[in-house]
Amino acid sequence: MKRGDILKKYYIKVGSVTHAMKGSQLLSANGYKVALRRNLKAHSSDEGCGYSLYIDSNVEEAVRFLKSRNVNVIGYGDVSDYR
Amino acid sequence: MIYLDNAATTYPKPARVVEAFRRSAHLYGANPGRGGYEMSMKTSLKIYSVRKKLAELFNADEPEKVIFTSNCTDALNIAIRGFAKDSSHVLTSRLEHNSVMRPLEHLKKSGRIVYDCASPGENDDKTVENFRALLSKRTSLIVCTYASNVFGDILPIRRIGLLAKEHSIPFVVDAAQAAGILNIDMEKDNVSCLCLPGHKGLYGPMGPGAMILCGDFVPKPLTYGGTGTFSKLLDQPEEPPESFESGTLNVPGIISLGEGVEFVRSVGIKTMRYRENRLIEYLYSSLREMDQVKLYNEFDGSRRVPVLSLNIGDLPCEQVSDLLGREKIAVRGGFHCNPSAHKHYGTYDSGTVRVSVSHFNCKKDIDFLLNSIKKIAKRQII
Repeated sequence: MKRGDILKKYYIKVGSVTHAMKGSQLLSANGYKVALRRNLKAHSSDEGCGYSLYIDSNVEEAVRFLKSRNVNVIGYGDVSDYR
Repeated sequence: MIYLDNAATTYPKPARVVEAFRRSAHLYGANPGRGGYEMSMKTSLKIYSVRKKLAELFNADEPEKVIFTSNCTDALNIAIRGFAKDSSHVLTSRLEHNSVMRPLEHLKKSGRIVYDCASPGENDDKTVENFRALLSKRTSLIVCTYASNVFGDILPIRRIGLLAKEHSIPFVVDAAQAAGILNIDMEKDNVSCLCLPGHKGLYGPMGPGAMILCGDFVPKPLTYGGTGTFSKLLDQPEEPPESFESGTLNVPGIISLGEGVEFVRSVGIKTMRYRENRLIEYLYSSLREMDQVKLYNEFDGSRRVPVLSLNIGDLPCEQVSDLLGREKIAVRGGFHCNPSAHKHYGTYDSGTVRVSVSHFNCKKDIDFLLNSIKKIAKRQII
């Protein structure tokens, strides 16, 4: 898990810190460079606080993979569109 | 002190567990799942690593289905009250601790359920038959102990689990005396929900327990509150483990429990059980030679966990445990929060003195106990 890198291209919002830890480890083990942080714009979202994974590429493939391993993905997209 | 009350809590704890407890206050002092700063994230990661260890140890399907609770009783309350459907029937055994019986009795007196207790038979076939005979179309849950905390009997969990599976109902197992002592495989044993303490056979500190889910059954939570996520929503999150873990976790306890699990894995459950069984077998065969000592079952290590109940003549069990206490031997006299098992074994009016060993006991401890029992039996200690 690399937390310092905030300049990732895509975010994957997950259901809890446990799912964030699980997702982060699964993605890292599968070759993704992944950063894990609190949700960037919790104040403007409907759900409030939470955690997201940040990656540079293949976001849809990563999401499919995470869902196949029962990680609770609640949203994903381009960081520039993050809300 | 010679400590032989390990069924209540194991003592001493392994040095690595004590050290982990101390270090966790320094290294993992932030609240997990709340902040995004380094120490909070490190603490979250550490907690997640303990979920993984427990999921692996018991072959649960996912780490996120390991739910930390205040203790085993708390886990059993969530499971029983969360699974039992209104106006349904619940099936349990006659060996259950009050941590199972009291939630069931509460639900019964609230008019929500009825329940039956199956008797353990003289063999596993008979026990399973007794459970099967009490199942009905209204049964919404089977809950029972893996092993008795008073007499050590191991129930045929895999076969009872199969009954639950055949009836498509959840199967909750109280592993208070089995976790870390017997090899438990939730998937093979058909266990939907395993409730366990961290401080007994897993050698963690007193405090944290766990409710581990496996398969599709998920109970309703009992506690609602802050989980660190979805904080704008007033509805409780639905995904385990956070849906069951409102409020701050017992971080030092959970981290130390993780070290306890590592300790158990490093020694090996098989090795531990072999050693502990040998001590109880030795105690049992020595006590059998003493006329004044009453024993209540044959000790067969393949069918029991290392717990032995006894009485000395007509002496009250509390007096015997008190006399042993004065000899610096820690055992527990009384009813062990389990009137059901005492009724089943015919000791409801007397109670028993319970001896229970851990990895840290040795033959010398048992010899000292035997010598003291001899002295009490001969009234040399009053």
